[in-house]
Amino acid sequence: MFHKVKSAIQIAALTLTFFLPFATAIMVKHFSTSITERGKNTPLLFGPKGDRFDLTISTLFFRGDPLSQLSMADFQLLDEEKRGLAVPLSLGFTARKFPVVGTTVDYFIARNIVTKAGTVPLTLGDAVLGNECATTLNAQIGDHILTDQVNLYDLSANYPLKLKIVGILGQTKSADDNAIFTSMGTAWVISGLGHGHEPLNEETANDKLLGKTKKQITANASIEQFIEINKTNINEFHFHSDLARLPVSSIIVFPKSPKDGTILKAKYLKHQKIQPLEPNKVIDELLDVVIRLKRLFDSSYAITALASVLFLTTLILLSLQTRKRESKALFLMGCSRGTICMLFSAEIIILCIFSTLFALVGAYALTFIGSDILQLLL
Amino acid sequence: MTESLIQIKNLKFRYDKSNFSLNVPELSINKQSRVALIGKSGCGKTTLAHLIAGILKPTEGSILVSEKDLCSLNESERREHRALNVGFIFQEFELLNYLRVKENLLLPFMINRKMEITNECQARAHSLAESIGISDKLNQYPEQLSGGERQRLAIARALITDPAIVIADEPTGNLDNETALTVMQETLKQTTETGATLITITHDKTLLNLFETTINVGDFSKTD
Repeated sequence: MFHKVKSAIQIAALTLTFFLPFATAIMVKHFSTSITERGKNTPLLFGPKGDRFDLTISTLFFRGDPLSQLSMADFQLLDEEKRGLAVPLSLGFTARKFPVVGTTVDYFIARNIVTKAGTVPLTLGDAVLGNECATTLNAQIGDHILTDQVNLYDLSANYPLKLKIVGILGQTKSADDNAIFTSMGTAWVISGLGHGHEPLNEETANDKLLGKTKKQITANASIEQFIEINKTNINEFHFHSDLARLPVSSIIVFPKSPKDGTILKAKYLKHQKIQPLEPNKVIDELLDVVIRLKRLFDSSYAITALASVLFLTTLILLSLQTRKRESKALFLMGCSRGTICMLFSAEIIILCIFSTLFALVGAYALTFIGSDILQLLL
Repeated sequence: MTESLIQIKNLKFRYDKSNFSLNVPELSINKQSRVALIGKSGCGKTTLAHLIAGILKPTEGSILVSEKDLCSLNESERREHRALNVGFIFQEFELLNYLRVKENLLLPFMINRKMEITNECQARAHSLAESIGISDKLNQYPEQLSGGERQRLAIARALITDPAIVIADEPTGNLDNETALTVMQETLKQTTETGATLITITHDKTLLNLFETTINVGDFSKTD
């Protein structure tokens, strides 16, 4: 029993020593592969001027809040250049903690994403779930999902919107797996820029009105707001703004050719409020920081590993000291010194093999959740 | 006439960087005899036993065991000779607690590459275990045995290879008189049954009447 416990403790100590560097290396590799891939698949990105890292991360991984916005007019101007496929994104809201991404059907075409079941979001109130998201929420087509309340203490804030799940995407092994997609219109409704309520007309009761003129009828707060968009009320939804002024978080552009991309980028290089970015380059810059951090961790692990190895060497030497009589007895019984040496070192080798194996298995197991953790940190 | 098993002639031994020396002009030990090596601490009892076992090589002279001169053998051959012809009983038994009783019993076979665990060995292990009363405990660990059972297991392990010589290095060193007598009687009984020659290193003069020959090693050694 003593020997089993001793071996288990030694294996645990070695496993932990090996695990940290293995896990970091594997996680960083996995993470860098995953985000580099995403960067490569997004040739050009246009967004409001500001931090390029924040803009890239929010557009590519749907993390963080977009601080400022572009408008649909900006998107239309880009689109009119006819140098590629421009896709607008509306970000910043969540449903059951998953990011809600407002976009157009072009997003799925450009990213080559197909639905596993159902359709892409075509009408107001439709939602399509990423593969992982659907699995986590155990959601099926026809189910509903409520958007998250932005601020519980803001009485003037919009009600959460009940979205109807019309499709589930196939697995992409990217941030798309953990997102909920809607149309741009739905995203604007979620943000409160569009809404639906019971019709206001001449027949509306006076106690629901604040004012009434020949040109305009103004309702008070008692008017019924729709929290779900369905076939019966879809026509009641509207926007109190010109479509061109509605916000867009960022615009992804898939140029027809590298030349088109360069021209488009050059055109916007000195734009007053829009910055063009090549996500690939921004990701490389970001990874450079991660790699530098990893090097820092590596040197720390090297020192820890050295300390652990020294401790283990002391332990092994003490163990050999206590087993001196055993080795002498084996020698007297005719065992060669080589065999004795082999017997004792075999134990150490077995300990190391098991520890390395456990550490590798643990590190690989961690990568499944580890890359998500790293992406959450973005 | 009794046949001689060990013949020592003009043996001289000296450790490197030591002023201790052992000189044995002539010594003969008969087959199946019971010999006690006595003498003060440091007089060379263990050294003489180790010379007979082939662990140490004499500086001069010869040691014949079954008419084979150990001095003509190299270290590997002497180790092989030891594995096949010499059994050891240690003061602290030196049983390996992480091995089962059966594995401890067969240990001399397990640690020597040139010896195989044959069906015959297995049968001998069972027979020895039966004769010392631990046949039902072969799958247990030494820690699960009583002190007496462990001691008998150590004796059985020394006899498993059916050696011509059994060397017991102070097997009763830590025991009271009564227990020492029991242990010694058990050792003698087992070695007599297998026909091995027993060479016992002891300080216990009360046990000397159990032996046919007593050799005072102090007579052969000197310190310059």
